[in-house]
Amino acid sequence: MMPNPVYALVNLSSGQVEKLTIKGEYFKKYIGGKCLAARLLLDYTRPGLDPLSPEALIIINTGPMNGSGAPSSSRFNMSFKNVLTGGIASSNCGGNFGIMLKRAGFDGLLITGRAAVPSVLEVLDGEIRLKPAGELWGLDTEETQARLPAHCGKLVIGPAGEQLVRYASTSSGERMAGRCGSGAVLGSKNLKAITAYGTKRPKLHNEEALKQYTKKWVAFLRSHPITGDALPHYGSAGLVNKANASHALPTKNFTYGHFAQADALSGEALAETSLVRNSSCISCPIRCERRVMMDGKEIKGPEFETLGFFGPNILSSDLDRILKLNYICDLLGMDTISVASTIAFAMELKEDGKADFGLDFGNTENLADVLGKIARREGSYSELANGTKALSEKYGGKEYAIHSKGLELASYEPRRSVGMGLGYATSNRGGCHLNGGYLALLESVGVISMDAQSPKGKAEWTVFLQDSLEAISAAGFCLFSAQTFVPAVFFRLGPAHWLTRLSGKLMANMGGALKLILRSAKLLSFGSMFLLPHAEALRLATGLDILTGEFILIGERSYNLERLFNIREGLGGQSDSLPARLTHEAQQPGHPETVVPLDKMLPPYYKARRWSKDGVPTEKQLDWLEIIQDS
Amino acid sequence: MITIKYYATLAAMAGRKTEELEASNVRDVLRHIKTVYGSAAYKEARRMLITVNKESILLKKVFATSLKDGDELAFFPILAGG
Ligand code: SF4
Repeated sequence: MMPNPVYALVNLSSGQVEKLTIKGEYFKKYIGGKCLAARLLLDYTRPGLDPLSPEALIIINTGPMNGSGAPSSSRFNMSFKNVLTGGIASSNCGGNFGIMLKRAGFDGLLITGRAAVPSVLEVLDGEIRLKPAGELWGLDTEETQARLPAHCGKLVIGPAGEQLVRYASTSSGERMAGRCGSGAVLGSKNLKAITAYGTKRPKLHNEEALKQYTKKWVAFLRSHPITGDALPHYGSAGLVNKANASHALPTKNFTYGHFAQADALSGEALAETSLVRNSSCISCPIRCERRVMMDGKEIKGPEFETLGFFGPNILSSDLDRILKLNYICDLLGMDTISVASTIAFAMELKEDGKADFGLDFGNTENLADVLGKIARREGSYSELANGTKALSEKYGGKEYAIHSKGLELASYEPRRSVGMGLGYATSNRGGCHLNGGYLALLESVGVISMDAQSPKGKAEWTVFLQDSLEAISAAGFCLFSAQTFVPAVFFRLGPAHWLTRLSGKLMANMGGALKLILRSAKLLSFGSMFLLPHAEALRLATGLDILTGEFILIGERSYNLERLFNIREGLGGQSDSLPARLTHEAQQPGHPETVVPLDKMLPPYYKARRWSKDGVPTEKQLDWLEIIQDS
Repeated sequence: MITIKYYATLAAMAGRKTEELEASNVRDVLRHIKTVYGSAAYKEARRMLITVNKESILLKKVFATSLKDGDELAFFPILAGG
């Protein structure tokens, strides 16, 4: 058996460090990553805390698969009270910090308090100490990492984190834990960086069997059209043309879903003009990362979200500018989605005559400068550093303030992908496509499409996918590794083939079957390369009796725990909402169906989750998930 | 006249990225591809994401989608993930 996870509880105010071993019962039920972190946040924090107060807790942890050598298994997690929503936050990252933390002897860190001066936390072979950050404070993420010892895993914040920009991110190498403000939390704790180094090899239950399984799984990933072809060739940027063709590409602050010049920003255009090579996080055969040239320097290329938000959503088709803005955001340590979405909102505020920050749709000339001013909270730009929701509370425009619970939505226009709309509204961390179940892949940007306007089947699919993705993430896998569940045959047939279209129709009718699967998950005792290959890898790595059903159950447990945290913080059913533009204004005039029928989807969603009509997990459900015993 | 845009493998098969054509619906264009570039190109074209004026034909009448003078028909690789 894999040993129980070991965590360090670090109090930055007192300098005290305490080692704690997670009890076996918790390991079995909550495995690690965001799931275990949600449990620990509930256990260790009191309600109503200011997320940026010294008392607030941030958990930086790994999943059991980190360092196992299994495919796409380097993702570590950060969970904390969400700076933008006040509910739960989890944000994950593919940098090498997680694996190094494990090698240094810790599966996770629980950090509380506030260091007296800007500091660096050093985790070195089982020992933890705090050192002054000195000259590092004020530096960007690249320079900070360059000045830290090369052999360490690093986790750093940029100027935005220091200035408590509410959507400040954290970097490990060039990978970011982008969403929800992890950088602001570290900034509020005066923590500029954490380094980790060690030589311990993670102990695996059945190393040889896992190695053999990994070989098979890698071959499967390489043979699948998405993970073996699409992601390596185009990265997530390959979605631009697809989303545009389905009117699901947010344009002009989500006024439209289609942008005439989208082609210039597509993955195909990126591959032709700027791509140098692709790259990857550690132990990932998918290699979705883009490497591009900018002013003679090789840098990380933009993801689909960044292309969308610094492109169509602000009416720009300047690809070179987007590469630059993406890089600047990474250096400053800011989430590209939230900052670009806030800028789009500010542009609309100006057009609407409500506020003028000198930002106009279609004008990107001044944006590099504006990003710096936001990160440093200069003058009125400090208001933009608080995000869309805060801005709308001051200046109005709530109906077109594109966020859910306070977190800005991702780059899929939900009026042409209504299940994605349900996902955004119910996602525990706020308007996130991945935490929301990512139904866009089955409605508007994938090969199989359910009717993108119909609520039919969407509630059950959302629950099933939310839970599955949750478990994958908690184990330490990248969510992209889950995309093989769409059978390869459909890519050979194409989206317009009658069989593919028929399958889309059938999927919409699978609500009952999915509910049955969810309710009888405890009986699904098989492993499958096609449906959640992650479960078998987790079983081999840990020795825990986890097969497909139990794996889904872990995800469901996690989703319910995070929901409990949100409810504790005042984010219940009333917060499962979207701005009026998306629920009441048709995207296309003359097509009244192009809205998100949220009121029709929420009741079946709560039912599929076995929550009350108000969206509260029932005692029976918590008992079934074996959560209640730990509360 | 319809402008046709080919991407990825289909562009390589056709040996060109764009051409102009008289056609009244998507099926006409597919027939043209079969005649001029062969069955393999036709098969590839059918399984791609086909758009008319950058809008998926799945939002229209699929292969029966009609075309008018000045329209742009494009064949994108369907492969995408993120
Ligand atoms: S698929 Fe991409 S983001 Fe995920 S682990 Fe691999 S390289 Fe990293």
